[in-house]
Amino acid sequence: MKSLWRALSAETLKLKRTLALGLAFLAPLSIGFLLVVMYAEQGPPDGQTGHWMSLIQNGYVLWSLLMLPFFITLQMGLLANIEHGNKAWKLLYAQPLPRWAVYAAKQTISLGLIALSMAVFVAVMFLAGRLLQRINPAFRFDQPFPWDTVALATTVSFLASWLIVAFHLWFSIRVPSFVAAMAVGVVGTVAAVLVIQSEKYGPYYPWTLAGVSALNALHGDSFAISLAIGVTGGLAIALLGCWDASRREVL
Amino acid sequence: MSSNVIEITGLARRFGAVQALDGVNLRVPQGSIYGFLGPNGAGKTTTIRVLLGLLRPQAGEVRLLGHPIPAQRLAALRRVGTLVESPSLYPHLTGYENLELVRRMIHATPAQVQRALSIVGLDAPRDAHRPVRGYSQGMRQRLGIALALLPVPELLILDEPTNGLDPAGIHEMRELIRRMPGQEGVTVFLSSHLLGEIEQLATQIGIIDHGRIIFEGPAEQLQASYRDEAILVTDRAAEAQQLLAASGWKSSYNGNGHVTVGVNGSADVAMLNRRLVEGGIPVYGLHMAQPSLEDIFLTLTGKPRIVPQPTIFPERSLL
Repeated sequence: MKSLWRALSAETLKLKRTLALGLAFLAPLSIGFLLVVMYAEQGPPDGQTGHWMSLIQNGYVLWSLLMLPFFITLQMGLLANIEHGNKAWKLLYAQPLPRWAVYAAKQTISLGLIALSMAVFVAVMFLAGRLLQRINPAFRFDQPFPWDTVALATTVSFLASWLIVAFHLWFSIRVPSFVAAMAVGVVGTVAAVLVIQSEKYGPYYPWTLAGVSALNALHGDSFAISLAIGVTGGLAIALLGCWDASRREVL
Repeated sequence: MSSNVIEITGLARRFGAVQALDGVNLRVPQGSIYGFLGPNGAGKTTTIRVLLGLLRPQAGEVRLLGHPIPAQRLAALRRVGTLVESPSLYPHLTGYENLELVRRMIHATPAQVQRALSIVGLDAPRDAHRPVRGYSQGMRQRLGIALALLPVPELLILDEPTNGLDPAGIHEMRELIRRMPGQEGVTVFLSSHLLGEIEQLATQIGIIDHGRIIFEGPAEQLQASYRDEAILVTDRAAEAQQLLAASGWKSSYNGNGHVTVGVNGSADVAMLNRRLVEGGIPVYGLHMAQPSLEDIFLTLTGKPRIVPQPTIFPERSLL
């Protein structure tokens, strides 16, 4: 565990002044901006109550179904490119640290960045509602924010996203081409827009797992299958990635 | 423990159809500056990558500081500093942060970071605390050396450390490497394709070509194993060569009236001169020349040797 801690400490420093860290704030902020513009333009919905849930559900559709898969693709590509771009694998793997620890640290940092962006997203939704309330008091965003429901939806969405986080990290590390990594993510996400509409396949498709889990949690429906697939799939790919890193040669 | 910090026996490695290493045997004595010399593509970097456990050997045995590689890679790497080809640096971080990053990985002390920066002359705040993307090539190379020195290694493995440096930077790097064994007690394994670099620094030399070691030993032994040469200048080269051959001297014509003769010391040169003069051959110049490492290297690797062509006599006067 000491090795993992050391590798993690180094990975944390490596994030300093990176686009990846900046995007963890910018991506959820962009969703908040869209929500504010959309709601301010349309005004308060007539005759509806519980406006927070309306804002939160729309927010989660934009965030977890559309933005998050792209965002994960981009983040994993950027994280791997820190090493590919600087030909740093030979430096990393020539250190007296087990390679699995180096890979596991990258996996942990990747999940940390996604968790950070999700926490920012929750804060952004809250602030967007408060801002809309100031713009137009008829929105009724002065009611209590449903922290419990949002915390549950955010947690299950985060855990269910582990599968594509682990997959994109492994792919981006294995394939040095940033374009190839982006292409895989774009194809996966575009297909997700179609797959999400299928009740049969929606809960099983890797790029929809986070969205399905979040929306089911918000609606009070079961998210067990999508969550289980996301977590077990993520763990399995992360472990395979550690094994692959341990036996990989650096040419 | 053996007094050799690196011991490689029968190392082989193939990439597809290319046999990159073909039974490499190598011994690096403790406290030496070992010059690992070879043309580009000879197998130098592949050997180093196997040493560091970045590549797996397909045959042979590798021991680094007594530890078998790759089985005990981590134990060996704790005592080794490396710079493989161009330094791997993170340009968005400062020089100090690049060292801090590795310090965290190897669990070194902050004092070791300052020491490494100080050795390579990057300890001034204006250098240490600005992003590496603003560094010159020379500063990057020095930071790469600082990264290698950070663990206070017993063995420093440097692969082409003067790559991309200007003459002043090369001189600075040489001085840095030269004082390593004395001041820091470090054995240096220096890989290069630059003969001058090896000639000026190395106490031991290993020459690799096409994945095979073609010489290994002290630098003096390499040069001593080759005979001295005398360079003779005359306008009757063909006759001179005939006369010398009759007396048992082997010679070769270099053009422009210059004949190279293999000799055994200065007394042999005096005898050669007397023979020529007695034979009526005019001698306009005669001097001894020790073959340079470059000459020896080219001979060992079977590459054509290009002799400079002075223009003392017009070419036509000799034909």
